[in-house]
Amino acid sequence: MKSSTRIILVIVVLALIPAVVKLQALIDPQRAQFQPGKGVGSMITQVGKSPVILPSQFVAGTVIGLREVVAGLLWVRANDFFHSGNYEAIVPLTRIVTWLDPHQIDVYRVGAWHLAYNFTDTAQHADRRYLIPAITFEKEGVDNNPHVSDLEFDLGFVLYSMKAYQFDKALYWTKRGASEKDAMLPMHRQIAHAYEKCGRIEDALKQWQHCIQEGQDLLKKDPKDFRARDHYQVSKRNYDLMLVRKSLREDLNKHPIDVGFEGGFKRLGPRRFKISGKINLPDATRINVQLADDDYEEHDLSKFSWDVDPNETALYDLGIHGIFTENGQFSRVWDVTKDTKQYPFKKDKYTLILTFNPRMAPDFVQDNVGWSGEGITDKKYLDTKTNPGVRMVRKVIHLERKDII
Amino acid sequence: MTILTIAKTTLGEALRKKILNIFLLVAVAMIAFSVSFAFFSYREEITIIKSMGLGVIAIAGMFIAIVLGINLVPAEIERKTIYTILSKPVRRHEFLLGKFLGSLLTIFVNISLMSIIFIALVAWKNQWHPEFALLKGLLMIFFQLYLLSSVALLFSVFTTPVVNFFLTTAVYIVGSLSDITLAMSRGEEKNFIVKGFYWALHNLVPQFANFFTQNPLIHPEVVIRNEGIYYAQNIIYAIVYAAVLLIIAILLFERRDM
Amino acid sequence: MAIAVKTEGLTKNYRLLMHKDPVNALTDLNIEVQEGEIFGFLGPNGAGKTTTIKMLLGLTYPTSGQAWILGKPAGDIEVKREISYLPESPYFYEYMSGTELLRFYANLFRISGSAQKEKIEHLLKLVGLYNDRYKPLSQYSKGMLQRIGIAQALVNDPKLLFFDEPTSGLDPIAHSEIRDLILKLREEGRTVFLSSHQLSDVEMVCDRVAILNRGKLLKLGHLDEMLFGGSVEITASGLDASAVEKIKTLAKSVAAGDGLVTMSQDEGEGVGKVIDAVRAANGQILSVIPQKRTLEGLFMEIIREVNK
Repeated sequence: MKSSTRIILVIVVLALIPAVVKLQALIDPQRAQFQPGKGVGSMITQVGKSPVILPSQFVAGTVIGLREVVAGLLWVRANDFFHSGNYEAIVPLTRIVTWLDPHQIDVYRVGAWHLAYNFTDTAQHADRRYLIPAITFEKEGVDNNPHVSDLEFDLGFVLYSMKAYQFDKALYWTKRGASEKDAMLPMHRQIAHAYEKCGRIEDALKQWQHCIQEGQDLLKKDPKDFRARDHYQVSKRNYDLMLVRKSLREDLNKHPIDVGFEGGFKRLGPRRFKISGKINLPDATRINVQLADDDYEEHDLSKFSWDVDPNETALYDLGIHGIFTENGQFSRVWDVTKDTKQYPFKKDKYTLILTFNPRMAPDFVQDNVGWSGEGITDKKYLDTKTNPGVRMVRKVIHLERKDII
Repeated sequence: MTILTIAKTTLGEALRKKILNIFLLVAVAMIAFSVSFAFFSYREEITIIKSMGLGVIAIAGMFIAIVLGINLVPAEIERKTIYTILSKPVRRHEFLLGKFLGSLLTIFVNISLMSIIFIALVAWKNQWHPEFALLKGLLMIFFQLYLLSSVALLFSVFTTPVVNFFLTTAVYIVGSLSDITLAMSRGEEKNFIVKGFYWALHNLVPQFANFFTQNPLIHPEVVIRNEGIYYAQNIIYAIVYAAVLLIIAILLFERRDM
Repeated sequence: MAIAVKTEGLTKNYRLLMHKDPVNALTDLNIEVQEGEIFGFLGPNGAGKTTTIKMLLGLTYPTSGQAWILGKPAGDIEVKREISYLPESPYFYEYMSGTELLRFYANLFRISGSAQKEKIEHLLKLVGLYNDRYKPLSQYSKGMLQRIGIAQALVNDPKLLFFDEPTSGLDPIAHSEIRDLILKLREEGRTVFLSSHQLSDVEMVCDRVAILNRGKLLKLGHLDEMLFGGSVEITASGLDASAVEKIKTLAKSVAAGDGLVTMSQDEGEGVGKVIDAVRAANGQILSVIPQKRTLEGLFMEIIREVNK
């Protein structure tokens, strides 16, 4: 090679190097925008109080661009645990998988569901302390995957509505999920139910009308669309039913029933107790039970953590898990002798709250009490402050540790 | 013409190399195996198939590129076949570029075979609707390996295959840590030597992480802003960077005693 | 006669890590090879033969000195169209057949189409591999590989061929075939630069030889002159005992028996003196035969001399 050629080549190399550096500077911000794992943080995360570094056996896969593969294989493993019933092992895996690949939508959904539903006592009651981590986890999923209807809808329906019974938040998230491009038709119907749970009957009716019109429009485009047909028919039926109920419940507030609520706690033995009482309402009315530390609070976490306080106790049996009445009476025995981890009862003082919330009642009970309890009253325990707009019955009993242990 | 002649020979030899065929078979088996994982939802199934498929093709491609690249020149010298070629009117740079082109063609063939199986599998899961968008990810994998091959070729000009294997692998790993090297090259609290070191790593080591575009292909809701520009920039980056490495390789090879 | 190969002060030193002194692979080589001759390049292992050939072919760069091939600097790309090289124990791409291999090399010379086809056919027949032309090289014996190596060296009809140990590992018949081939090449006007340990082969085909040892040129010259520059044997009859005694002072050695006297004297004036002495003693000169050394003998002698 001639020396002049050599010199030219060296000059070309020296000229191309700044071009490469410049290109990299252009690529970097775009890469950061979509790739999982940002900087050193991709190897470290905050779980609970202390930072945790990605376990070394996963580092190898992540450094050579196999985050998604490692995440996928770990999720396969997690599914095995699900089939074998080893639920406790699943949650750490959902954390690691979503850490590796924050776009694993189903992992967020399943992980949140496990946290909210599967940490149970011997009687299969979910551990209330895990509800906020579940919600936080699902919210993290929403933040990392905006505009995915599943996650938003799950947050609204599965967590806020079915578990937390916070219907205003349930409504917000259900609407968000249903507004996304990939939303399914049943989500639109669920908005109407969520309105109803919030006592916004007119809004619920309007939503049903919207769903009916939606179904009709879709059927015009394709008369064979069975999903559209289903949407139309269900919406129409629910709308009609709601109109009927509305007229049936119109005058309930004129003659409210005194439900004569009463409830009490009786210790049967160490960690065994009975809660019983009476309420003058139809059979299968549900009485909510909340037995927790005096200072127990469900506070939002800023970042997901599955470190629940092992000294906290929160025994919540709400909604369909509440005590069902029969002949105006209710009674249930709890034996939590084997569930010391879920119900540590370490603190000195406890509060037991028994409630009847009309918004959480089934239709046939609401037919007697109204959507918001407008058909009831109670001399001793009527409460209109805890849930503004709702007339509920609420009794608070203060207990001490010796009353339970 | 000379470059093509040497490239064809390199391709012919490489396609018959047992170890490369084993990588290929194992990769195809792993891609096919991903279908056996049973999940609750279709989305989870398709996610694992796409993750595994793209990941396996990337990793198998990486091994094929490295094993090919580390032996490109040393094998010819050891067997003295290079003497019968360079004693003919073949310029050294023609020889080197011919070997490089041959290794690229081999990688292309291997990636294509794996891709066909992969795309067919995804199509099957989608009721036979092929998802041609996956080709974008496969294109990125190819250009990533294009760049990796040029690294291996450069090292093969002056090191042994064993040393080259570790060097090239190390470059690949460092080049995959783009997020970390970028983060460490910034920040007020670090001293300038540390920042400078990481800046050099980030800008002077080929950044293979640029080509990890699997996430948006696996998760359709993840979108690359200005996607076309991103892909174009990456392709140009690979071509330009590889050109730099190839020129350096040619300059070193020109003066090398056989 | 034009010069095919010329070197001037050609030197190659290797600097190795951890070694204080460089390794002198070749020191100050000055040779000239005429066109049309078969030039033998000899030396023990490590003498610098292969290093020299590599420098002549542009595969290795000299530390100092220069070399020319067919009038152009060594390594010139155009001159490579006129030369070829068969390395020692050549290895070729195993998956290729003989035909494919020759096609590969023909393509490197831009020989294509029907010209390529004819050439390949001719070469395969020439080296006796026509019937095995579609067999992969992995199934070739050592002799067959050597022959296909020669075929690839002839693809471009070279004026100058470099053969490095072309008969290494071959049976006697193959040896003979290759020797004949080399002689044929000379008849065609080609120059052959032959590096070999097979001194018997070199002796049979070479015109001139160079002998190297430890990177230095020890001897260079025509083979005839090197091998025949020795003693002369004179046989005579009709000499009496006193004549024999007188001749003993003039000759290197004298042996008498059966009426014949055999005398030996170094080439030169001494021979004439011995003949004169025989005639003066009325003896009859029966024969005067110059004694030829073997190349092996000469080679061993030179090497031993240097090692002393």
